[in-house]
Amino acid sequence: MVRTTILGAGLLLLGSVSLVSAPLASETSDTNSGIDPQADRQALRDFYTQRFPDVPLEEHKNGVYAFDEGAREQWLEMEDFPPYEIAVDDGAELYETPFADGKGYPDCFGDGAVKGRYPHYDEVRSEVVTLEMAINDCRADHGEAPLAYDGAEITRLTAYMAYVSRGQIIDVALPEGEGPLAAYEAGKRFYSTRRGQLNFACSSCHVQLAGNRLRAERLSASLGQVTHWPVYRFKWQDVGSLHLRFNECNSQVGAEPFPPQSEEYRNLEYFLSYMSNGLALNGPASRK
Amino acid sequence: MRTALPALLLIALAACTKSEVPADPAEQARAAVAEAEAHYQASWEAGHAWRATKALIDDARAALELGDYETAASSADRATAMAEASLAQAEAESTAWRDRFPFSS
Ligand code: HEC
Repeated sequence: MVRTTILGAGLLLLGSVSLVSAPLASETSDTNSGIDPQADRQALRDFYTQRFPDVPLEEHKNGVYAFDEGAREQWLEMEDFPPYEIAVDDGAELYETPFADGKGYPDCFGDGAVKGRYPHYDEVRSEVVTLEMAINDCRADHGEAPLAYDGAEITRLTAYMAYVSRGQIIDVALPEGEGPLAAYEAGKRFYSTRRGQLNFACSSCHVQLAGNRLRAERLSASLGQVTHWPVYRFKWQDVGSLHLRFNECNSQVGAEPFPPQSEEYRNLEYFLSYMSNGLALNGPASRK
Repeated sequence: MRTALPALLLIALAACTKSEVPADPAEQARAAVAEAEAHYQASWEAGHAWRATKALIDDARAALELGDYETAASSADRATAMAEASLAQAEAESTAWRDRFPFSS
């Protein structure tokens, strides 16, 4: 308790010296709102290039293993017998199992290699749609009950779909109009807002302190944080979703987390994915 | 973000009822818990609920159940104070976040 309080106070100080970099001119720049996603993305990339001069930006898709040599060795050994393999196999089976109406996931998603299309802003629904939502939409279209977003079944399906989508390049679009920009801005705001009793923002740990040690762990960069989900974590003894990780990162600073697939977390995923544009999908992955 | 207005009204209401202090310790404890709950609800609606606030309210409710009104009231008061701190965080962060992103090294 005492230790965490000291950390929090330290970050409070850190927080007060943040600087705003000059916005760059760009296509997506929105002069009315002052929201400039392309400039944000460039600034973040520049930040990590300076923070990790020896790490190619693309390498951040491997999280802390991009720069933590010791942990990387262990992780590479682990990847020889990937702990998420069973989930991928189970997911393949679920994917091929027909619904009651005789149709199935392939009727919605073809061979399943569609992860690169999500998340995206859906103009008709006026919200960010994730792969998990699309899976439940597919089920609804065929008269099936929705899967629980924190359940084992949906995570196995996404493990399989992530696996067959490996190598696709993240290319989140920000279509014209206020809706997509507002969703982007909400995600960016969430990422930069201090929460919880410890008074940390996502960015406190994953931007300002990225590369530093927090207790036993090094802190990963925001860039690449969305490329590899779901993740098999030894702590979870299972595969878990990106939103479960959001939940844990909110909880560990004492903030009440939001539900999986809540508007807050979907907008956050949209923002983070836009930041990772240009990186290759490499899920599922394993982490401590 | 969601509006915190209805919950703030609830708090104002809770504050009003508090001025006519009930003498009965059970009533007092119940009022303290209700006030803490309204504050917690407001912090949730502002997107800044803290888990420790919720834990204190759970403690207060459990104590109330056991007839330990003193513990119930004190846990509830601490929860209220904590929820106020989280609402202050929400207020400060409503503008402060803008200066944080993007970062420079
Ligand atoms: C108190 C510091 C702290 C804060 C604040 C924090 N995290 Fe984390 N986060 C960690 C640690 C520690 C890990 C595990 C090591 C790592 O991968 O960085 C982690 C891991 C992650 C990962 C997994 C990275 C990977 O490679 O698999 C994601 C995604 C993530 N955090 C997102 C967030 C988001 C979004 C927020 C804000 C809601 C947030 N974090 C806030 C400490 C923090």
